[in-house]
Amino acid sequence: MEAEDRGETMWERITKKISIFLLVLSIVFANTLGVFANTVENIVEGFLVEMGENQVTVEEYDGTVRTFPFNSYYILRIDTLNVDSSDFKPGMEIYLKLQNNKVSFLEGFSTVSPGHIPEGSKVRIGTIKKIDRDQLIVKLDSGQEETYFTSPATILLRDGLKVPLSSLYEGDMVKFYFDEIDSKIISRMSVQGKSIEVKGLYKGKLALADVIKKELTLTDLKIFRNGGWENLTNSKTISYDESSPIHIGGQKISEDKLKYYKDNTVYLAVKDYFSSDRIESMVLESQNEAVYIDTIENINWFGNSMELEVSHRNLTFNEGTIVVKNGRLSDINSLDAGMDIFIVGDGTSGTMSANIIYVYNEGINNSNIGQNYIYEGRLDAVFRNTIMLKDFAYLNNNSWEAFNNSKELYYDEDTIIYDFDEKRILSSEEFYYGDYAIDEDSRYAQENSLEDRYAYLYTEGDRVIALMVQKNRDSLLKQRITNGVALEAPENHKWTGWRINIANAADWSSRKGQWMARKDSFYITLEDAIIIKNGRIIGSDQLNKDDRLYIVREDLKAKVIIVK
Amino acid sequence: MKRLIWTLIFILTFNSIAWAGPIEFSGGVSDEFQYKELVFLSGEPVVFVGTVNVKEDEKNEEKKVTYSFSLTPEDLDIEGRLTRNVTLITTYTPVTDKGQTIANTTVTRYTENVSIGEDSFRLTNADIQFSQSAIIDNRPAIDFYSGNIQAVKRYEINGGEGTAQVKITGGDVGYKNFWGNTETQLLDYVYTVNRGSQGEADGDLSWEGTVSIKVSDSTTKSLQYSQNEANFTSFNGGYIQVINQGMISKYTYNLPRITDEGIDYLSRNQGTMSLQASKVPKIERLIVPKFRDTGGHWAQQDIEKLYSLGVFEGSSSFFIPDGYMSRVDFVKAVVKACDIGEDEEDSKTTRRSRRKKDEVEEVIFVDINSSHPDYKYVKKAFEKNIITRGKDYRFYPDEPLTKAEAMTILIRALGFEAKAPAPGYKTSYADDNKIPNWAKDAVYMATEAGIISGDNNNNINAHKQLKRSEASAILVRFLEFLEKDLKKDYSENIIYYY
Repeated sequence: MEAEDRGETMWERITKKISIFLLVLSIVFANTLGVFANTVENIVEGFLVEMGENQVTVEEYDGTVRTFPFNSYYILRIDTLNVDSSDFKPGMEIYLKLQNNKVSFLEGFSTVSPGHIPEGSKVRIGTIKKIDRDQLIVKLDSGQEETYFTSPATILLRDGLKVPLSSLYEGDMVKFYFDEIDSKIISRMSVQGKSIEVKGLYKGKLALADVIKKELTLTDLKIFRNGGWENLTNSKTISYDESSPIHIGGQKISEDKLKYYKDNTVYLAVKDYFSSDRIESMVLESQNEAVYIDTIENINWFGNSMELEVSHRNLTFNEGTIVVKNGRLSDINSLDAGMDIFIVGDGTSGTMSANIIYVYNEGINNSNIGQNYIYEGRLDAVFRNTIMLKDFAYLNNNSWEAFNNSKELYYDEDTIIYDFDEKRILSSEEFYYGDYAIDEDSRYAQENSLEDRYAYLYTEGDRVIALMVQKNRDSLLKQRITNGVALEAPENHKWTGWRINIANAADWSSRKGQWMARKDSFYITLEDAIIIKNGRIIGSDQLNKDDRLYIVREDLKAKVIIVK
Repeated sequence: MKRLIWTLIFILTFNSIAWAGPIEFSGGVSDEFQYKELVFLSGEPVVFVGTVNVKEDEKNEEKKVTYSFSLTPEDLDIEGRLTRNVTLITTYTPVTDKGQTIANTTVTRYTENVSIGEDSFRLTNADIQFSQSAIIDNRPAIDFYSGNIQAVKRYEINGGEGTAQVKITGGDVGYKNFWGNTETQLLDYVYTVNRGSQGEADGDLSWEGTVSIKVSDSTTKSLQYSQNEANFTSFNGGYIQVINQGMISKYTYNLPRITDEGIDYLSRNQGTMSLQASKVPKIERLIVPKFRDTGGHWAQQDIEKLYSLGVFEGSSSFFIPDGYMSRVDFVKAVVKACDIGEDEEDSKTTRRSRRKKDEVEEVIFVDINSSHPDYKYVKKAFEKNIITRGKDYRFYPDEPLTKAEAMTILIRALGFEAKAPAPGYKTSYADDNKIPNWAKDAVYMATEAGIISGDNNNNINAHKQLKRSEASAILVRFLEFLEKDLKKDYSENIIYYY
């Protein structure tokens, strides 16, 4: 029995050992299989059915509904952002990572348009450094330089009014709006109006600098006018902005140092700040002043110097040099050989640096975006929407260039047509049916003594924006092209009618191929003029003080004026 | 009960905010001595100058503002006078769970008498309809404001000869923080003047015209360094806090052209006129830092500014600019820089705490208890949602601060985190993939606000631990944003570009 017992016991022991071995083996296998099973089920995707405090129920894409408990540490996210469990809503697509069948990571997906921002909500403000067709190089307020692009859909507003992209200038300060966070294509632009323009270049003696009120008191104040300095006032206090740069000899100095420059000559670029003057940039005279009106022969960008064409002087320039071009404070890089300039130099006869450079050059177009032209010619035929010009001329580089053939131009309902003789605006119907272009050999023309009319046309490409017709032709040889700044608002003079005083003017010399600065202000009459501003014809009374004007004139009578 | 407490907190906090803003809604500007505005009732812009008395009375959820104008034409050749008495009552309705307030304004009194030349214009209480409503978004460091105005004023001309109706539509935007406040109104006026012919050769004197007004009132604080001129002194120089207040206004008008013969219906009188006024700056000297180890350091000015302002404190002679900025020091600096200090509710809580000394402070973070010297700043930052709490309830106060953490704290203080793009975007930085998900919105918005930018390789280095000097520079830039950038954005950038 004992033996049997022992025998059975032995058998039983063997059996037990085998059983234990099998059990251990099965456990190991089972665990191994479990591990494999976990690995397979490591990621679960589907729709959220229910988010509980300790578990989540998900309906997988194949329709299987499963519930998983949360791990002791787990991460909850929606669209990459960390969230609470209460932020999840049934029905949203989710993605789970499991560890030992417990949720360690759960991410929901909700955003339809990743990276979406409201239209125009990405905003940048900066100054245009360079315009090249649809490409604008901009210096942002932050100091960075960026290249942005315009599209045909880009909207440009100046003073709240929609204006063509061609009205942009280098030196304009612009607020850019973008529709997407990484877009370089401008959706909308707002450009500063008159506030961007330099109201005056002043020169005076520094009497006092109040760095708390941010004001300079200057004596013996003069203003740049007509190629020289004109007395302005004995004493004046002008405010400045703490961001207004102060330079001397090319070195930037802080406003705290101004107290050491009492009675020193200071040059100021001043803008209008809500009907008062505000200094935008200032340069302290370092040595002695010399003034030149000349043309840039060439520029050495590596040596920061330029050679002048007439005086053959070499001048250096630096980051403190005040450059005024198209009425705007501009980057020194906007200068080019051939530009006609007024320079205030600082130095001795040996070395001279430029404190101020004022550029006289002005054209019909503000940049190479613009395709505006001025034509003059005889109306050979007027069809619906088409005009044939005969014996025409157009302003090419500020000079009339004549052609003795025909030119086809297009007009539409938006074209402004002005009958100079009748002093009224014509509708396109009146123009079409009127006797403005006629077969002069016809009986009708002879019986009614009719002749073709002559016209000045302002076009964008071949599309006529504005057209002025008159019976008598002007002699283009007698005409002169002038640019300048309105010294005052126009006046309706009892003898001459509307007239305006022009300062800082320059006349184009075809022979020299350059703008010749005038040394005086002068009146031109506006009674015979077609005046164009922002692509629209305006009345004489709508011209303003400080308007910059491009003028086609015959003696002192303006024929065409473009408000720049 | 909880709602009531929140309401109380809000009311007590909000009542401490005094919104300086444009005077009434006529586009005028004023300094300490003179008020000036343009009046168009005669069909031509006429500048009126004189005085305006402003009285403000705030009680609980109501603010009463009374304006009394007494003006005459600036051009002494024009005979005229303007008196206007206005009482506006604004009722504030807090929406506590959103941290916002709705402010509705009504007119309880509006009388106006204007004479220009031979014409007089009279407006009584019954001749005005007015409605103004605004939303105020109360963020930790700033309150943002935006509202709309609709009104109609109707004048009787020369005792019944005709009427002048002025429709006003527009709105205002503004902000207020410890460093200043700006409010800008954008208003469009439409004038409709109906007058019969006056016999003689005058003909019909009726006209219509429009005037757009942009007017802005700003108060800003800035720091100005003042050198000590004496040689043998205990300090070289120090900072002055300068408070500037100024108003700018721009009127753009499109009116009939009025000639000696009457109204010229063939052309219009269009133009722009601007006004500006500024008050004498108020100055306050700040404490002088005397650190021995900041001289010549690239961040010397930034560190000294922050110390002068009390953002950094301590009596040590060493700032250790190249040591690492701790998390708690940065949070404390932000709370102090934005003046998110004790408010009235805190004072009440403190008083209550004194009464119940045994009451145990709520545990916010397990590693920074209420006896910690900077506990109150951390608590305030937590309450204002500038910092949040993880599941481990730890703040890690002495751990070095990373750039990502600094940006997150600053953008939360500004309340800008919700303005980030919809999630799932990439920032413009080359190391975008290294920006932690929780910091991406803050990095994006801090870049938009110009508070940070990338290094020469366009990396933002979000995980970089900030040195005390680097954190100082970021804080000073943050303060510049509060004092300068916001003012420019709400004032000049609207008026110049709108």
